Amino acid sequence: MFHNPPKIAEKLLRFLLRKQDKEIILGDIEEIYNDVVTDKGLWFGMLWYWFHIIKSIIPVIYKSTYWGVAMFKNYLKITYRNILRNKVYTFINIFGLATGLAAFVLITLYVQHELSYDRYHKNADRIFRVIREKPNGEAGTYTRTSVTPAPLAPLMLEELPEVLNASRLIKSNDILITQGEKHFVEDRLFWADYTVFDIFDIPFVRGESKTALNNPYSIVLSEDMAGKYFGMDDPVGQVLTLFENTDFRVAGVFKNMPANSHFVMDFITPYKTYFLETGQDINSWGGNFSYSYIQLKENINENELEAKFPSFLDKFVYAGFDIGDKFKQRIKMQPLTDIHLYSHLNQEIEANSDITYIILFSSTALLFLLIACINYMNLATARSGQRGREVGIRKVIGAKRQQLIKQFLFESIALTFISMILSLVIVLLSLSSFNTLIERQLTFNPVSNSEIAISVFLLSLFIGLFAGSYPAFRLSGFKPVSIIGGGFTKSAKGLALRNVMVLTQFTITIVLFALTFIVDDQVSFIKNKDMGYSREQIINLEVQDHQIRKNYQVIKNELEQSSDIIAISSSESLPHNIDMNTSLKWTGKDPDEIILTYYNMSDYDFIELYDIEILEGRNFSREFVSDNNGAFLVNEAAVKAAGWETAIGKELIHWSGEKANVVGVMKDFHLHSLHRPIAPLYIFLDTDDFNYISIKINTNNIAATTDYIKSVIEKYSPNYPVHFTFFDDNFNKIYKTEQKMTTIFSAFAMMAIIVACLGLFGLSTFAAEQRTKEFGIRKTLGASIPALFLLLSKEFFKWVLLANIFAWPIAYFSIRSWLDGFVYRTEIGIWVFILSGLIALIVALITISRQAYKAASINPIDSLKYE
Amino acid sequence: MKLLTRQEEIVLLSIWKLKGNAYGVSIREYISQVTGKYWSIGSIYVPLDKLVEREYVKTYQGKPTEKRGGKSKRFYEITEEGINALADIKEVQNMFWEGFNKPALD
Repeated sequence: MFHNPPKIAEKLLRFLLRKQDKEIILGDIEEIYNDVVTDKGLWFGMLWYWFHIIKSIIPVIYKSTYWGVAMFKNYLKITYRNILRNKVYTFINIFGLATGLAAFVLITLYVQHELSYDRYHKNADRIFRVIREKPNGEAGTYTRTSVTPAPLAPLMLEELPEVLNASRLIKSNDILITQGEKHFVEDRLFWADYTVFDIFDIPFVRGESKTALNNPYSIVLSEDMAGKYFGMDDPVGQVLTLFENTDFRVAGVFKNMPANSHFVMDFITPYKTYFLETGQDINSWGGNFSYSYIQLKENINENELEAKFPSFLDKFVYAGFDIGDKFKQRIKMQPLTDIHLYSHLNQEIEANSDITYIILFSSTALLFLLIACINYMNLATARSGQRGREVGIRKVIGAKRQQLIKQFLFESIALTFISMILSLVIVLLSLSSFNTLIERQLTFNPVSNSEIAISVFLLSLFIGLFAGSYPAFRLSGFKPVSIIGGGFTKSAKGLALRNVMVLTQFTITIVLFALTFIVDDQVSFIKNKDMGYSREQIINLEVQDHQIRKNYQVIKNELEQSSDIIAISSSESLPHNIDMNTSLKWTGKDPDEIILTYYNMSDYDFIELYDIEILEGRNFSREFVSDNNGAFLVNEAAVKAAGWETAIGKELIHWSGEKANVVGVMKDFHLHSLHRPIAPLYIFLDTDDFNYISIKINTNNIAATTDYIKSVIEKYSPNYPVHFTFFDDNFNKIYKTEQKMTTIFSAFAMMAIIVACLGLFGLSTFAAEQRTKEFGIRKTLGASIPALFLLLSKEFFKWVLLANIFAWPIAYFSIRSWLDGFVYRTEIGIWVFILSGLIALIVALITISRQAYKAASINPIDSLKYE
Repeated sequence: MKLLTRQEEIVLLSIWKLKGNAYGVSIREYISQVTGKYWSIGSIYVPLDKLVEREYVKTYQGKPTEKRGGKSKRFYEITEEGINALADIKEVQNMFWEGFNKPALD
């Protein structure tokens, strides 16, 4: 009878045996096994079989690990020596790849963060914001707005069975909150239905979310705010005073909302209290200032629900009104998770981002990564030619091909892993400046952020394997005789591809440099342009406290005491950003004609303080008693738009109905950013109603002057923190995007040139090595070093120069549309392109010159001695 | 002439002795029997390979048997060269051994 040996043991044995003898030896052993079983029984046989297998495995393992470790040590040593031998090359290569990887990690972090917005809510996929679409007259177009009437959300909850829950929010800005001696102006106070805690995940640290908003004068606050107002004390039960006179009792503290929320709340008070405090009607469909969020039941098709909205509005809102469909407002739903990247409505709670940034950033990241990888491989491949002799010797001594493959792959992976570690260091070092640039608070922890860690690890492994595969598989396949004997030549294959790489990289570099220069040029154009008003030495104070308005004359008189204060003025808006508009009206005008005009209100001193030039007539003046009853100044654009011969003496009508005469014409100044043309403007003399106080100071001892201003203001407005800004900064703020673009472009340009140089370095190394013999022969025949230098550099200059031909039009057309966004702009000079091209050429020259010089100056004896 | 290792020599001699029945199991059994020592299973395959490589033995495939789980035997047969090699070894050894006598116990 035949007994089968233990299965697993047999498998093990099968694995250990050489292929050709497998069946024979297995057969022999089974025969012996069967004899043993017959003699001593099945159990003994099995034990016997296992014993023999294990006995034979031990030396196998021992041998392989012993030699494995020994060889590993050798590979490590050779790798180390190679790094030392080619310090510059290794550094550049590792650093280049690390830069690419670091950029990839940073941008991935950013993209990851942006895509994670609002996803932390348990029911994120079922939460929607209800938005409103307002028809623009007959045109059939709609203005989309994120705020809705107060009764909408409860009505939807009541009448639409698909809706599980609904909550409304109202946001208040500039709320003065007082607690004992502390007072701050807060911007993130929300009036909300208590259901907000059911829909969103806002865990409470203290208090109960269910009951916290029961009392109309209760308030809940975030942990940060609890610390800010109450320190280590338990805030629950304590009192916060809002608007200087209304007490709210703290009923709970919630965990800070994460930064990846499309809105962040610091304080929450009951929704209904807003209406109690403001005296508005909570049931009115007239006011649109509530954000409505609804949570749907499970498995609801949102499109089907949305299709019901028009009939829902007809039934409950438009019933009894005779309104044409064209004039009806519509409502739509926005998935919560889409808001941050896809929503650009009027009156968003906070400024959102845009999916185009994500696409732009991620494609840049991928591009850089790809180029960095290809460069790394290029460079690694080019340098591997030097290893031919080593491969030959190893083969002669008895290295198997497999071992050589293993060695080269190991070495290559070791280098990419060093790059990986370096890239993580770069990421950690640059994260804070990157955060400033993108205005986020990203953190990076390679351990917890496993997605990035794993992808970087796999990338490094892949790049290592790929870059190592050329020397590993190609070099190891050569016959030792041909390598050592000197017959070994490097392949010229892939040279075309490499040239295309250089061309592409330099095109990108030149484009980015040109873009940087043009954007920078425009920014300095903005900075240096005469705006028509003065920007220096002016302090702005935004008026939040009514006490300041009341006591303005007293404050002004007191401030004027200081010899360092030159002038003081009050106004509705500041001259760089006048955004209130109306239709220009004057006595005798055709009432149907609409002339869009912007307006500002100011006191007597505004024009003088901001150095605005008066072309015709006069400034507002206290010497003219008639000015007491109001007066107007208009700009040239307004005169032109109205079609007047002269504006002086025309009776204008302010939007609120006051009539007065035009006393002067101002020279046009830029009342908006340079993106927009100068629009018609009037300034109405009004000393009572203002939002800003402007103070012109001289440059002596600015700190003391600001301290003095602060002390005066504090005297009359003790509760509000004094917050003033410099007009120059306010001015620059409206060009923040442009300035940020300069930073981003220049960062990209720097990275592009690093990466491009790496590519070029690899290519020139490769070419120089390949042509060593040619150069040797040329030299013996009398070629000079400069001639040879030129010969080699020419090859690459060709590609860099060619890159200019591609880059210039690309740069021109891609920036043209951006620049066209400015009505007032700098002209794109040819110098921008020439300079960019020149930079690329010079950097390329420096990169090549080392290799080219080395190749040209080598003694022909050295390059030819193996022939 | 090429000298064989002791193991190879013993294996080759066994194959010669076993005539037509020389395969893995029988060779090992025979050697163990003659030398009176335990020979591990793996110990004969390396010398066998060497002998095949030197063409002192040739192999042919036997029929599969049930006892071996349906696997066939590989039989070994000594070649002309093998015989010559054995003859050489014997000659050399004889030269070395000549005159050797175990001293008698008194």
